[in-house]
Amino acid sequence: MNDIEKYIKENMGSFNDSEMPTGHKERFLKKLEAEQKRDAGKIVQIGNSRESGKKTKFHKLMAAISSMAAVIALCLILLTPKESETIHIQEDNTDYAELMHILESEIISLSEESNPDVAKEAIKASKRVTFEAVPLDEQLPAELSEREKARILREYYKQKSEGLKKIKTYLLAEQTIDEE
Amino acid sequence: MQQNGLDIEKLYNTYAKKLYFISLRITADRFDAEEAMHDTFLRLYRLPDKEQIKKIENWLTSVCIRISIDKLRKKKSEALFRLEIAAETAEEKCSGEEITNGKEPPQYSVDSIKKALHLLPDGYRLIISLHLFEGYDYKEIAHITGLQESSVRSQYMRAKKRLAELAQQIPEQGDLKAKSN
Repeated sequence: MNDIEKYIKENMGSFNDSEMPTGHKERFLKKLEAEQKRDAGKIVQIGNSRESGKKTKFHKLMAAISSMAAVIALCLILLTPKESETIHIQEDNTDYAELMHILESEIISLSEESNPDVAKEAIKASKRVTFEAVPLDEQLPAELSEREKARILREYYKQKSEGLKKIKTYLLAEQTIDEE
Repeated sequence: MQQNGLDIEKLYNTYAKKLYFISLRITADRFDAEEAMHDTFLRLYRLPDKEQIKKIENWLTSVCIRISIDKLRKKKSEALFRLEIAAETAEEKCSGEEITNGKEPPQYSVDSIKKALHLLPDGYRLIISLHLFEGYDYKEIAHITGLQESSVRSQYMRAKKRLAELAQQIPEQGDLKAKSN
């Protein structure tokens, strides 16, 4: 270990010791309150169904990865403008993106309690689902309307979330098997 | 503010500072760091089975790091983010010799290292933060950043060298041009 590494490790506490921005907690509590109010009028369904049956590890992983393939296929279809369709008034299109991050965090958390090989495969699969070399919103043609872009993004992240749900279900099922 | 057995406000009081400084080291922006820290707790709030999390501190840290990296990426596209790391590598190959030749032990201070961190390019600062401050190994960092493990290793070596150079310059020259406060 060289000098600067050694210095940082010996003084680690001091690096987290400065003042935080004034009013940070008040700002957080306001955001939390807004979140609670939003919850009161919003239904968010996060499925947590457990798969039963005797699917092999391979088949379960393929199910997750095939969801990813469905995402790609869906993008190809959805990128064709469909002006005649009724566009649902969508919730903030970051909801599914947010759900995707929540599910990714849950998968990380579940992986810590899982068999290492299983955890490794699950994390790898989830990375494949969530990876974006360039975010989709930066790839969409400028000619599309904002509503159309929002619809495409919503569907895109919804499909990714579905893929992550499958991985999560797989992890939960594997943990159940380990406990038996 | 209790919800499903977890007191979010109590957790905030316990972990906010740690998460804020983790994020600040990655984003080098106080506004982004506060937002990332807040978003981390809000994600915990939204999590339906939060009581199942066995190691809450690890969960919060991991999520905060990912949110912070996302913020960094949003400021530039992923492709540019990678190009920046490649450019840093090329630049360092042409850079001069180390400032110290080992004749005198280098002098550091917490303040100079903090300032030096803020002056590092984003890619370097991220890898230093994850490896040196958060204890992630090269493999984990490769997984998070999408880089090859060998690239992470060489990037870390260069980043550490650059950090040491900057940290030693700061006491001599006063504050160098700061990226953010």
